[in-house]
Amino acid sequence: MKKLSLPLDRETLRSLGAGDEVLLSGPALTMRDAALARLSSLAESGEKPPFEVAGQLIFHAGPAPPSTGRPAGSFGPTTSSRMDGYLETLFELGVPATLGKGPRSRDTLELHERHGAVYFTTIGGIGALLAGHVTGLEPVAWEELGPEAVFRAVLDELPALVAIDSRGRDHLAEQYAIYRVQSD
Amino acid sequence: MRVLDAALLGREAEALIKEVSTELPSDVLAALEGALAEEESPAGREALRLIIENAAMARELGVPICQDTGLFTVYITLGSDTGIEGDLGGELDSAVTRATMAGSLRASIVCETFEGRINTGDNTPALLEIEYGGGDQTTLGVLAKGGGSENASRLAMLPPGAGAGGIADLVTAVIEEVGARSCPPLILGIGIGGSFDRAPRLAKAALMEPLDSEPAPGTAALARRIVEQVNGLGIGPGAVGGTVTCLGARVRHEPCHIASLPVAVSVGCHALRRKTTTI
Repeated sequence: MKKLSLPLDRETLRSLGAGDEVLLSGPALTMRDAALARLSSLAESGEKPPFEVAGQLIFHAGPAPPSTGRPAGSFGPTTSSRMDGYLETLFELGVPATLGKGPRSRDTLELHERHGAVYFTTIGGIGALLAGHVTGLEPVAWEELGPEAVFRAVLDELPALVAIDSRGRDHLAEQYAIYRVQSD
Repeated sequence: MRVLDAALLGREAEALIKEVSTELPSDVLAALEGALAEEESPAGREALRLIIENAAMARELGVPICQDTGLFTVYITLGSDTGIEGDLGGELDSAVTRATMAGSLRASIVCETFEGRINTGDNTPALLEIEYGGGDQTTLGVLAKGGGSENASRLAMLPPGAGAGGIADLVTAVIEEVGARSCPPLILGIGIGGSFDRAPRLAKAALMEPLDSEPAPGTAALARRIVEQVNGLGIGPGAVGGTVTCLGARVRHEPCHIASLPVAVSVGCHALRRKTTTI
């Protein structure tokens, strides 16, 4: 289990291999469907968003409200493949890594390789547990989007896995092939 | 004639919404424990341990099992000679609002869906499925369904002669394509027959059946076949690779036209949040 501090530098990213188990600590930005659509249309018209994305870990997630003294009662990843169409924009804006759940499309492997970027995955549907690894949460922009607003989340040893490394190796696809029952 | 007060049904729905959001059903928990004993992949077993620990933590702290607290469907099956007095739709929406505010549920529903996508802020509207059961009991059930598993659900109009094999192959192909994005290990609701619009409703309603209850007559073999084929895909718990991709399947079917075989698969994630109560 590798302990990683956010934000991640390029050297650390290159040192990670597909399948590495990691614990992520430090600040990340949440961005999912609605926020990424906005970011993308701003980028298309050559405008900048009201926050810095370069160097940030982008967490595809939308938190539940605060509860029992936690910044979010429940907080975990959403489906990353839905965000695949925004990935090139994120990488071009200097995003070195993303975090979400499930595999990304095969088209994104080459993108990761070209930009030296990493995709981390964590288990979906365990927001009560993962919220215990989030020590801070504050809105950064576009609050009218509700849970889809951009939040700065401070992670504390959030367990994750390197699903796509900076050489474009796809750990999840390899695992599925191992456990797949060959039909005749 | 028995007359039920819509406000009473609203209060029942509110209580169930709060309960299902934080307490995983015992049959789902038992299925997860069974999967832990069966799973061959070490990473898959670790994912199952986290899923089981998450359920315990949600229950203990009273926080949502998943941050995607879902879209709420209320199932009402009316007994014979039973009616409802009052504004049922309004009472159920109000129940969803109250439960959302009291239970710290995430606002996950938008209106103006194709332009603007404005968050309704309180998870309204509730979806209502009402039917006449004909028995002497009236039941009310709540299903909270997240977006990831809903996006993985599909409908197909198969050739009439596709049979059980064609249905199992369809479901397997669907899960191969989208199962890893929808929080496995999954629980699958399969709806067969009826019509283009009925099959998905049957499929979703099948998710309401506890996995430890007796399956409808004639459906167990097909359900077993589906589970076995889907578990051969290798996706595994938490989509990290493994031998348990599906915890169970339930099949509901109805007669259909001679030219048709509508088949729907409603995908339930491992955090299947549902409960039915007798009124």
